[in-house]
Amino acid sequence: MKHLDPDDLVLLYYGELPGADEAQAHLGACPECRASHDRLRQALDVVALDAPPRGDDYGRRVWERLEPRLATGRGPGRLDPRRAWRRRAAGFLAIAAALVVAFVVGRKTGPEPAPRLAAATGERVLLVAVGDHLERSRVILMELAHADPDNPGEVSARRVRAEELLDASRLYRISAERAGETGIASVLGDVERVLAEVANAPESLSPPDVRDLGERIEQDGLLFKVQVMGLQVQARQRALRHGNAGSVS
Amino acid sequence: MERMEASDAEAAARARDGDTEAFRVLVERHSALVFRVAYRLTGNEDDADDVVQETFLRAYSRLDLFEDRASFASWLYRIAANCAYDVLRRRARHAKRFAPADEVEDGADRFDSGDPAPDRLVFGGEVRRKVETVLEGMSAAERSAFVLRHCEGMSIEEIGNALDLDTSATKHSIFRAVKKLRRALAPLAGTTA
Repeated sequence: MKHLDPDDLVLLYYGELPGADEAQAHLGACPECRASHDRLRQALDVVALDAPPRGDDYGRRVWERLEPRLATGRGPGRLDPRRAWRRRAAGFLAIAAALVVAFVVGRKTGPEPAPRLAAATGERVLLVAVGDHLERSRVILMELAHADPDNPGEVSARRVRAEELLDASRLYRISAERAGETGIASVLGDVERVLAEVANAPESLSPPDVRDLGERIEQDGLLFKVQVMGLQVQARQRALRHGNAGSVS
Repeated sequence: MERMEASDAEAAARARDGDTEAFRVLVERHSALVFRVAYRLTGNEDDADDVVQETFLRAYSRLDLFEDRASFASWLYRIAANCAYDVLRRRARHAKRFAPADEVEDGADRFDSGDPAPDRLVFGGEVRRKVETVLEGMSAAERSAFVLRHCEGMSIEEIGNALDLDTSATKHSIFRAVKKLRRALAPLAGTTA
């Protein structure tokens, strides 16, 4: 067995190295790797971070500060009918995306590939679904890129929609990766990162946060990428209708 | 333990139905845990207290996403990690905006020949301070991934889920963090980086 590299030793230290038994056996036989492992362990063993004590009444104090804020918030998850509806909509979106994934992956891996027709149908399903998803994503990205920094509520208000799109986007990306559509998968991955940030944004975004978000969307050229990919997907849909298509990479 | 989880699930279900008192029980029960992870991640008491507030606000508004069969503490823990990660990223963006261009970014580089001799430091308060200084110099992803792995014992997969990072990014954040710490701590433990 070759020597363990420093990253392997870190994974081994944390018990996350695949094939750890083999690595342990190597450590037993290789003084060089064992010495590296011991040095790493010595360094990491001294790293400890204690939190200052908060006292027995900390929970009560947290609640006293929190309770008035709950009253002005949007309430617990289940009570808001609009949120419940959106949640159901997110579920439908995710189910629709999952169906597309199952369909496309099934076409790619199914036991009886009916050559051209099946492949073309699977590709068309993916392209239609992804084209629609890219358009939805483009709209929300444009809104976020142009959100008013002095009105952070503009971003917070889009959080639920970002959550919905995020769930669907992950499934479409997986589908695209499995179908070998690397270009589509890459753009969807970029979109996911922004959607995840918005979906996990705190209730109270500051104006600089909103400005940062808009700037990053602009700087990364994400809107442009989504727009271009959307056009390419549409072109491929048209080509498929006329019996001629190729992948976007 | 199961009884505790069951009562958490019950309280969460009641809170979801609008029972504020049930949510108070959850807040009082889990505040210390949330503070601990928030403090370890942010390294600042005021920030950690804010993370505690934001964590419970976020949990309250997303109670419909909590699955009753899951552990409420684990669910809350992931939200806390994500909130603290947000604080670190905001802090990093703020620092980037206002820091002089030539400011040293890597905390490990701050330790030079001016440091006290190793034998005075080993296992003492200086070790902790050195670790804290290195952590301050890390990126939000490095610090969060490392602390969650090293101090909180979360798996790499769990960390990725909590921080919305893929497995590779999570691993590399931890590798970079460990490298920086080793470089700074090498003189203390008689190690080489």
